[in-house]
Amino acid sequence: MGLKRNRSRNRVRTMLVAVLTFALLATFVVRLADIQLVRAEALNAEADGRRGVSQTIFGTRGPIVDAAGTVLAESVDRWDLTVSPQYTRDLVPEVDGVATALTGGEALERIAAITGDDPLDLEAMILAELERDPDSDYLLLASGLTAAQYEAVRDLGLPYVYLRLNPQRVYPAGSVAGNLVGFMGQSEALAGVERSEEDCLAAEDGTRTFDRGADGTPIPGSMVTDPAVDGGSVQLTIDADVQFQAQQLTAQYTSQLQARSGTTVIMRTDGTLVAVAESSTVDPNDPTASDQRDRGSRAFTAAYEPGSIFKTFSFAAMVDLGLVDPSDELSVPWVYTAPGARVRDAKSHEVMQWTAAGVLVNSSNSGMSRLAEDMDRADYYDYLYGFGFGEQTAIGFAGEQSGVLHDPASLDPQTNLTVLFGQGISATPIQLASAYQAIANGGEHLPARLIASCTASDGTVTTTPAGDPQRVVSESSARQTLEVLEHVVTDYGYDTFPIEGYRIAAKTGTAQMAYEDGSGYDPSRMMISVSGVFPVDDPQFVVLTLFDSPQTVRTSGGAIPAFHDMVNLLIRHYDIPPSTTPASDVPLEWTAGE
Amino acid sequence: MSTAAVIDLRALPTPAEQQPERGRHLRALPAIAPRRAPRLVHGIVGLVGLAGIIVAQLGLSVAISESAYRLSALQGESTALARTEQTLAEEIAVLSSPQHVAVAAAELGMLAGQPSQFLTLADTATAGGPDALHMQVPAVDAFGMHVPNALLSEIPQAAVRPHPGMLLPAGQTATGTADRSADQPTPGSLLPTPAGE
Repeated sequence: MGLKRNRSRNRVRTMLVAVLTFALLATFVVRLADIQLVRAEALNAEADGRRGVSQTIFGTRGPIVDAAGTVLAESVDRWDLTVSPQYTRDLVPEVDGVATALTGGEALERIAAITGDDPLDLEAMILAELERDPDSDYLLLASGLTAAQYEAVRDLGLPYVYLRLNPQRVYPAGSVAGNLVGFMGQSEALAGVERSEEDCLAAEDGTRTFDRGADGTPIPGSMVTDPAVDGGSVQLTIDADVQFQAQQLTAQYTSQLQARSGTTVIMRTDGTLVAVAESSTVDPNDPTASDQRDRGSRAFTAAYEPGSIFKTFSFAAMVDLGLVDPSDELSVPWVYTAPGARVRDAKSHEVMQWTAAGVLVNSSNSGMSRLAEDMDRADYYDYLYGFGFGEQTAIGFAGEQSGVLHDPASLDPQTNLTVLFGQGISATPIQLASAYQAIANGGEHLPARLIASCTASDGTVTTTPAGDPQRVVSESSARQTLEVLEHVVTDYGYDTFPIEGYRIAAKTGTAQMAYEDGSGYDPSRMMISVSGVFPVDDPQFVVLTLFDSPQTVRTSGGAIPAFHDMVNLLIRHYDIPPSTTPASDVPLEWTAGE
Repeated sequence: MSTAAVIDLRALPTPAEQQPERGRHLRALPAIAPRRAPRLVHGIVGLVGLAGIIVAQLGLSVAISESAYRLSALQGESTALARTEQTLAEEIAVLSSPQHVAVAAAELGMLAGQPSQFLTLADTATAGGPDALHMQVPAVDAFGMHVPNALLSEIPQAAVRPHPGMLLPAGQTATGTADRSADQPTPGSLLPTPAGE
């Protein structure tokens, strides 16, 4: 019997231990599930809050550089100085761990000495904030601190000061190409390439999360980094040196002519822009200092009726259509009348025996109308579209205008004639330069280009494609037109025009400006311009310079010295050798009986 | 009781069957070998091993956290150096802006160079470059620069450092070189002290 009792006692004990063990195990499993599954999120969040730190890694917005790599725009680190007004107080050595006592006033004086502010202003700001909200924990005292200022403020060791990274955009070259580069607002790009190339330039911010020890040191192995992606670098086709010099000359001529504004466009024969100089130009470092009208680029955004420099395209079209040969002989009176239309030359003259070339060189409206008698305007407009008028250029600049080309079938008899010399249509300076590019490039039009490439932060380069050349006029028509225009430089009567040894083709223009409300032409407002191509034997550059409402010289002669200086500048800068071929000898006048 | 009876009834024959065999199979148990006492050396080896592991782990973890501090300090230093580099690069970019170069050149009395001359292979003549510009106005006039740069006004205009052979205005000697060097940071002073950010 004793054995039996022993056995059953053993069994009970075993059962008890097993049950207890299972109960314990079950408790642990339940607890585990509770912690790991049920309350996992809340607990993790609490743990992260206690020791986890999440920092934003700021990506750097990409720079904008010129063709040679000169930086026109870049992002730099700047800091905002913020304070907690409610904790702004006098510092005591025993409590705050500072070497000597530092009163709030002294601290503000030191801050002000670093930031260049008035300490009383800072104090007033803090008091005003405390007045508004006694528990205020945030006040922006100063912004845009440089690295040196940042370190100086940090070394003050003020516990109530917090320095916040706030990257900013600077433009080291100031207003050089400021019209093209554009500028940034508080958070977004407002103008120019900054705006149009946002996709390339913009950076992606990253984050860094880690657990920190009591003293802020990251605990090894806890760091998780989602790296920031820096913005790409945009390279322009602009040459900053030429841009600067062209801008300087444009500004000097604008002030000499007392013009409202001046614009110079320099383009290579392949359609890339070398310089787009304007006066006045915005300094993107301080856009608010400029007039609202100066903050963009008029060369892209201000279409106007170009006037006589447009005759080049009518002439090229007529030569290409086979309607005109430069040596055709005409008798040109100063007034031309057609049913419902009447055009006059700028100055009265007797009936002149000009060749077709002579008509263009002397810029005769009457002669051009006469030459174009047999030209279908629909054909003419096809040429104009070919030259790129009536639509935005391939650049797609922020706010770019497309100009106006009316339907050729609906033209009234007067406009039917004036479109030949640039009235009744409108174009931007860029479109005009781009159209001259087609003449310079043997009759093939290439899309205008301002952006050379975008280099992403990983090194991938996206080059702006050169675009397909579009033949507008034949090579021979383009060459004949240039040869005629060469005579404008040599025979138009301005000795400030030619540069000895160089074959330069150009056309002058004095355009009338319409009133802004469209009620006809403003007699006090003229747009004087010269547009040209050089060297004629191997064209490399197109130069267009124009001045709005000059006061001292009000005819196109006023723009000629400026054009001369621009060409001169390019010859010097790019060491262009003199022409080796003789100038063209196409006759401008004829005499009966020869 | 009936249950007990049943059990008894069943149980009874069993001892009766087994009893005759019990005597035949009795045998003495083999003597149990006396257990050897655990040797001291094993214990020592075990303890020392354990201690070794603990010490190694401790050391490793100390080394890791030591490196963490070092890493943190170096990162702080690298950030500070990057800041210095950026500040200097920024300064260089502004100083090399066309406006600054033009103004500095004008202050030094420099003029635009002569255009290039070109040799013609056909004869012995040289072909000249272009004529002079019609516009002969200095880059800076009474109203400031024609092409302004807001950043330049923030940078104090560096005094032109006289160099040997430089033409100086009458009454001025080539001093100031020493003054200038005072503006230069002493080597090493630009290195900021590493700081935990």
